[in-house]
Amino acid sequence: MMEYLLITMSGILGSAHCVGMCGPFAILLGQREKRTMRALARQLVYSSGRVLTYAMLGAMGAFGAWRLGLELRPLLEVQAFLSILAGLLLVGQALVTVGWLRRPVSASCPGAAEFAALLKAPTWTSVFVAGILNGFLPCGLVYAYLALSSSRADVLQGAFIMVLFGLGTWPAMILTGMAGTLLQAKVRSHALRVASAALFITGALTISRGIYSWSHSENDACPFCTDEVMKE
Amino acid sequence: MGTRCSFCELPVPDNGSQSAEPVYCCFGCRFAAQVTRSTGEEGQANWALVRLGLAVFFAMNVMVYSMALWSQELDGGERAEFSATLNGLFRYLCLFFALPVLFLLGGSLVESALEQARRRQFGTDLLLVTGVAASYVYSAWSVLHENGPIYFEVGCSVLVFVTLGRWFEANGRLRANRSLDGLEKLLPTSVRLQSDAGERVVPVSDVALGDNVRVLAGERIPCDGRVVGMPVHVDERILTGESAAVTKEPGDAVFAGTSNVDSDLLLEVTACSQEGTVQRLARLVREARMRKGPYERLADRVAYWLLPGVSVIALATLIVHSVAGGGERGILSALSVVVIACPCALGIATPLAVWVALGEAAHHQVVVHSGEVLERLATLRALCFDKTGTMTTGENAVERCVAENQTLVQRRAAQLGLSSNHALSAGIRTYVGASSDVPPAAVLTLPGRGLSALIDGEDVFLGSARLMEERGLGMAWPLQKELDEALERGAPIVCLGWQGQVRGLFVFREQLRPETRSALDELRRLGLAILIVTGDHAARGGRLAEELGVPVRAGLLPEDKLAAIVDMRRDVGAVGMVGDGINDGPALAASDVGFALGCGTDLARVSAGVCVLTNDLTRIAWVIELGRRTVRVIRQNLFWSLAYNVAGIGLACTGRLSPVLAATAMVVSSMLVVANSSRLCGFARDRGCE
Repeated sequence: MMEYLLITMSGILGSAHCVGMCGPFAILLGQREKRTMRALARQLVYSSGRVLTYAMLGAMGAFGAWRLGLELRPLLEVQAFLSILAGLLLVGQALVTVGWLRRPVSASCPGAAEFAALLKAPTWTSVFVAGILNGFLPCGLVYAYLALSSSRADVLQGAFIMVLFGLGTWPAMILTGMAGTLLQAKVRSHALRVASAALFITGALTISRGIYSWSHSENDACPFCTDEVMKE
Repeated sequence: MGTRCSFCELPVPDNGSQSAEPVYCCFGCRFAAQVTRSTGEEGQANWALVRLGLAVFFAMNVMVYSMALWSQELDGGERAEFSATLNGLFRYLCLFFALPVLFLLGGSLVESALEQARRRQFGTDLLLVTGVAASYVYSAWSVLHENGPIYFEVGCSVLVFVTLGRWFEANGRLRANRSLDGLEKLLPTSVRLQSDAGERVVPVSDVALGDNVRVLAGERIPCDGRVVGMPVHVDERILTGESAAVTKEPGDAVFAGTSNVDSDLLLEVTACSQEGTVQRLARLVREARMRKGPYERLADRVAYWLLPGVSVIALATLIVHSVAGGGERGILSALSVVVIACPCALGIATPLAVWVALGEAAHHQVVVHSGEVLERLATLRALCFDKTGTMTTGENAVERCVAENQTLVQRRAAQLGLSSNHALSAGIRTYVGASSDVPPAAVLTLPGRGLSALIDGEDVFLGSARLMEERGLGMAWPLQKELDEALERGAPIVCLGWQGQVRGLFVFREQLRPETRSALDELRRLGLAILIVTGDHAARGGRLAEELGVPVRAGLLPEDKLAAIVDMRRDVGAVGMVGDGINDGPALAASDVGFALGCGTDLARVSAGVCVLTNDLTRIAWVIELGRRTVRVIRQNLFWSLAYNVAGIGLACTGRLSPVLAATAMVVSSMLVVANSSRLCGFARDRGCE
């Protein structure tokens, strides 16, 4: 349970990072809408689209990893391997967030203009589609959590982890969109520090879980994680 | 030039009809056009993109439910009672979510397939439509009869990925083309037309020859013309790369696309809006893109045989697998074959790289005549330089004029020099200060020797000492002494003579271009053998060879230069010839790639394979390296797409590749080719150009 809490937590806090990258989208989304309730609804529809994409990616990742695990079992502990990979990605993301590691250069988005048109469009469908497509934008944090949910090798759990993470990003994104401004730099840098701590802990836990299940038979619970998680 | 695709401007086979409907070369362009064209009204959601987004959403649902179904099957009854209820539900959900994908994306694909059929073009679209339809019909039947496997995820992912892949591809092509529009977009769309009735602002297309147009300070000049008002300063960087503004006196030509720096400019139009210099430049590059190089022809040949071959293989796969493993296995394997064999990546492997490179070159003031020239650049092993106007600044200042009758000699030299573009003539013109009051003579050019004309009933010769000898003109002592001295120093000279006597001698001072040394170093770094050929005297050649550390063959006539190129080709390999494009036409034509320097405003006249608009010698090494890189990228692209097609078809026809993976691989393959080709965009930055 503690891990799920951490995932949500680091989602919430990590979204200080999201605001930097995806915040402008949220602002664009609410720019034209004067009525508060409608603006909120737009943000919710948009964020739901995003979370749905995350969830489905999580499910696919988990399924893929599970199939791979079946194929490669004699050769490689796929889940343990993915766990360690996910942990490393999370720790790396923590370091990026706190500024100790430079963000890998991100390529420019080929469909940026079209994407902006979708965000500004008045219809609910286009807002929803913008959310769905936003879910695919390259993002280190998403990849780290995807690796994490893949390491579970269970379609439902994979989707669940991504939903938790996605919901965690709601408060900051929606607030940003509603307020129409990015959080102040100072507030953001504080939030980022806390976020990186949460990410770091999640990452460290994930790595240790991976190492443990690599060296032990798969049915043993990992001592670092509470039992409910593994036995679910 | 036949019908062109309304999106990416590739030629499309004509179907004879002359309708005003937009024509698209492929399904990707059709879709991409829908996405980009419908964004006209701001705030209006663009339906094509929404369609794709929704289709992605529905397809992902189908994937997730399919995965849930598979994992239940594979779990082997661990949660038997749970799955029995869910199984049926999930199958219906798959159907429920798969249908919208078909409606959202199937339409464009069917339309494109039908159009291909109408044009009697053999494409994969029709095969894809058949495969997708088969997977849908079969799966729907299974769901409704609650029996048998379902393959909705196959149909959905093929639709989504094929659309995505083609969209990427079409956008890649468009971006390669757009780099040119950038040039034309610089031009203003409206102009200030001056007439008796005052000043009117009219569209640039309404301007006629001879109209007077006013251009304000800071504006770009909309069309080619002649200055009629006050002198102005013009920034011609776009054509010549020179950052310093050029002064244009009344009567001087100004060119479309250059900008008026500081004062009001009144010009008389000398070329219509479509014939301006920038448009000609863009048109040349665009035409260059339409000429296919050897690699592109290779890809075309492969694609030509690939499609019929694929149909046969797909049919064979269908039959064999249907007999061996049942109908659905046959359909799936055949669909995999069709999807993976789609020669998208192969089709764009060469043109995309070539287009990006040609556009990149044009943006850096180098016009490459065709993709084939670009490919040949990579094979060059040696470079021949014509010295005058190439290694040297071309602005030969007259150091001294030796003559008894200075006035007459200068006057006649100016008369002859007026009608020649040779660097030395220009020097004489500047020295003499020739203005329009000197009546120009009917001049005969004696290649490699000089000029002659009939002035005041006398045959007057202007040219080398050799010309004087050949024409039997003797030289008096003071002149002979000056000549010997000048030759000793290696200084260029021009003699002027008539009535059996050399009457005057112009001694020039020639300067190497400031970048000559670094340009030669760069070329040596590229491993090219270098030779300088010149019609100059051997002493001067020797001095140059010493100065630059490069072999020089001096005293060559144009035909000797040809021979030098032939020798070099025999000894070293493919030879490029660098000249100023004016006096060395035959040598340029005889070389494997001709480079003409400084043809900024004379673009259309020069027939060299590579026209460098500026006088910057370092661009030669730059464009050769661009050629080498382009060919490397082309080879990578071709290797990748051929290997991918062959390996993919192999896997698919043995039934080892699921159509979902095939569709994913197709997108990845197209994206790789697009990304690899656009690496050439960064070439200029890597090489330190601005």
